Amino acid sequence: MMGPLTALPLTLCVLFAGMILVGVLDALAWRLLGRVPIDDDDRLTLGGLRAVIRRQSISTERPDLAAWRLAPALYFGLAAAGLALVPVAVAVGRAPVDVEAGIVVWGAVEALTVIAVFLHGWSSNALLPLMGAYRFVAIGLSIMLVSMFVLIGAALPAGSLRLTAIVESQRELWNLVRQPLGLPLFLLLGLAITLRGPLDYADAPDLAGGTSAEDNAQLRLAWQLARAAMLVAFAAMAATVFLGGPLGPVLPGPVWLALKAGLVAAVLVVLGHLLARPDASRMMTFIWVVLLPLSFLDLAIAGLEALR
Amino acid sequence: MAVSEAIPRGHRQVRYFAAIGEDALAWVEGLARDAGLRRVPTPRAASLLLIAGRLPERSWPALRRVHDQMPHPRAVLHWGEGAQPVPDAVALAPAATPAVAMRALQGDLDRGARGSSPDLLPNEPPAPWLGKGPHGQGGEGMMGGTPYGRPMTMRGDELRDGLRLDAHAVTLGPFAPMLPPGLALDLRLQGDVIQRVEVMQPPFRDAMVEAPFAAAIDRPMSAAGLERARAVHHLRCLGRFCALRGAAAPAARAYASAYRATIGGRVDLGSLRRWLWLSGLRPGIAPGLGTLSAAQRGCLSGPALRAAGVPDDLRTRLEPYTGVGFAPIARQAGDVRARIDQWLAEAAQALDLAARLEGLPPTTFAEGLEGPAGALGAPAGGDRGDRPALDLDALLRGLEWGQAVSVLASFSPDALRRMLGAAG
Repeated sequence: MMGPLTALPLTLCVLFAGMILVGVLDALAWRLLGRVPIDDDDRLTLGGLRAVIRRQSISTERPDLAAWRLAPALYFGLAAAGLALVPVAVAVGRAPVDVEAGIVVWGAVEALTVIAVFLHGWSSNALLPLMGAYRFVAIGLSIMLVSMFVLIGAALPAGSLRLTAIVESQRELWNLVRQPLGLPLFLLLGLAITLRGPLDYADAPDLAGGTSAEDNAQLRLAWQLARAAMLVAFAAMAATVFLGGPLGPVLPGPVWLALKAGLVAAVLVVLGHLLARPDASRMMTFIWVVLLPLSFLDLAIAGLEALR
Repeated sequence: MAVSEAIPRGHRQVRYFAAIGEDALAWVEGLARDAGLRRVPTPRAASLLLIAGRLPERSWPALRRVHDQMPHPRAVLHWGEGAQPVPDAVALAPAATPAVAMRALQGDLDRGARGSSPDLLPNEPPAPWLGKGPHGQGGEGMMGGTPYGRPMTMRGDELRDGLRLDAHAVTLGPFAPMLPPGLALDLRLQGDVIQRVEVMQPPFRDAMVEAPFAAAIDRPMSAAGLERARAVHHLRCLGRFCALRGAAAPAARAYASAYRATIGGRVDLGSLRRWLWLSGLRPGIAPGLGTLSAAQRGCLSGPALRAAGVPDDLRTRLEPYTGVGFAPIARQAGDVRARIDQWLAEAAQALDLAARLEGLPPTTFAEGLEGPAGALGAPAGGDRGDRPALDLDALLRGLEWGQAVSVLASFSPDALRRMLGAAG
């Protein structure tokens, strides 16, 4: 494990670089896939940043101001914690935070994201944000179950919950090939915890921005930045667990990791712009009746493979 | 008040909240083609309030509340006719293109060359101070008085599973971006499930959509042009629906196709069909969602009626349509899915008709004709008065909020206005 003096700046630098990339990807998707009349996605452009910082900060009637400020900080903190678990090179100890049960810690990051989003919707003391928050909790918890089975499946070939071991176990064959159901299911979780596309039940256009509907100025910016940060963390984690992380010929490990994570981020951005959000109840049924059994199947495939 | 003449340097991004009045939805949606103008879903994220079209006076109080929710520095632009609801709004003629004025206003705000628009409402609590209780709510203890003027939420029977759940009341509209412009609803919700709906105000008139069709009753118009206008209407409705469900890519395709049809370009809906299929829009909508009861079906018209199994279409009886072998499209289900399918199918049909009717002499439809949302003119005028008004409460009760928004968006705003029994 790196010392905190190395781990913290490294994680934050990578996170900020990734967030810039997410901003570029979102702007590109917007240009290539098209604009809609109401622009609910706050893309992180320089013009946008400047405009936001100058705005007056206004509040709602009797908000929970502490929680309103805490929510984006918690969301961002969770993204940073998740990213810190990602091994940047193939060797034990080459993650900023290399812990024995790294993948379980990531599971906790996923689960706590639900808290951050709920807090965000709760704190402004307004109806539309609160509805977004409740809807997200229902969907978020369900899709998280799917993700837990998928992650256990990914840990089986390694025989370890340590992320460096999971990377090492993919030296011969990536988990993407070994467990073909894993990455698609995990990508759906990514859409949920980054509040994008079909799983964006929190900040959706039918709620005028949902949990963000009452945000303005710095708090709005903070929430959007945290959302981008979570996409960076998720992309790096997906690349690690399913695409062999830093493994790859010729180029150095961190470059491979960045390329793979960039690809995952691009896929998520495109899916977010493309896919329609189903009715919440229909999505719930889909998760429990289709996705959850698929995640069992994924786990069974992983188990049989590990026994061989 | 004048806007600075100088066009600001470089690419200036304007975040505006649109308060859409009468006949202005198409104008505002057209602004999306300008990448620097961003229509945001909440006044909290906007620095410019764009009032588009004429605003009836009864919606001014709501506009003032929207205005005061925008953070400083802020400005107001009124694009259209009618009295000025905000004293220091910059007025812009309906024929003007607002993009330049919007950028200039934003530039003036950024440079500090223009003062921020002051509050229109007094900064005081919405509920009067009654002197008793910690919040002056007029009572002590948990149940005394009404703190902040809002009665405590009380439990009521849940509609779906028999549990008891807190129910809360809320008023939305007439500028809520997820509802048709002008529609104001008084809702009672349990979680996000609708318990009761009352229509406070129907959607604003949107005569722009029907203008060419209405004109064709009195003077000769090109039938091909009318069919293109019909396709544009359907495609825009489809785009709006996709955008509400978060499917940006198909929504943008639908709007782009509508724009190409407007300027008379060749439109191929194959690409839109593929994007729609890829987006999974259709399977995500519950089958049977938004089906009207047999008693209510009488208030349907146009594409929504044909989507519910009634192939009524004036074009089957009118020249020049009979000459090119027009046959109406109809489907059975009558739910949201069917209405979406119907828009796409009728848009394609209209474009095909436009191609076949091209070059024919203009026609006057003195006997009436099929407008984009139902029959217009003489034959329809008589029976429209007999139509029952839509019982929105019966249609939306028990639906999740997202579903209710989809049901409302599956009718064109003008059709919904007429279904709700508004005159004109």
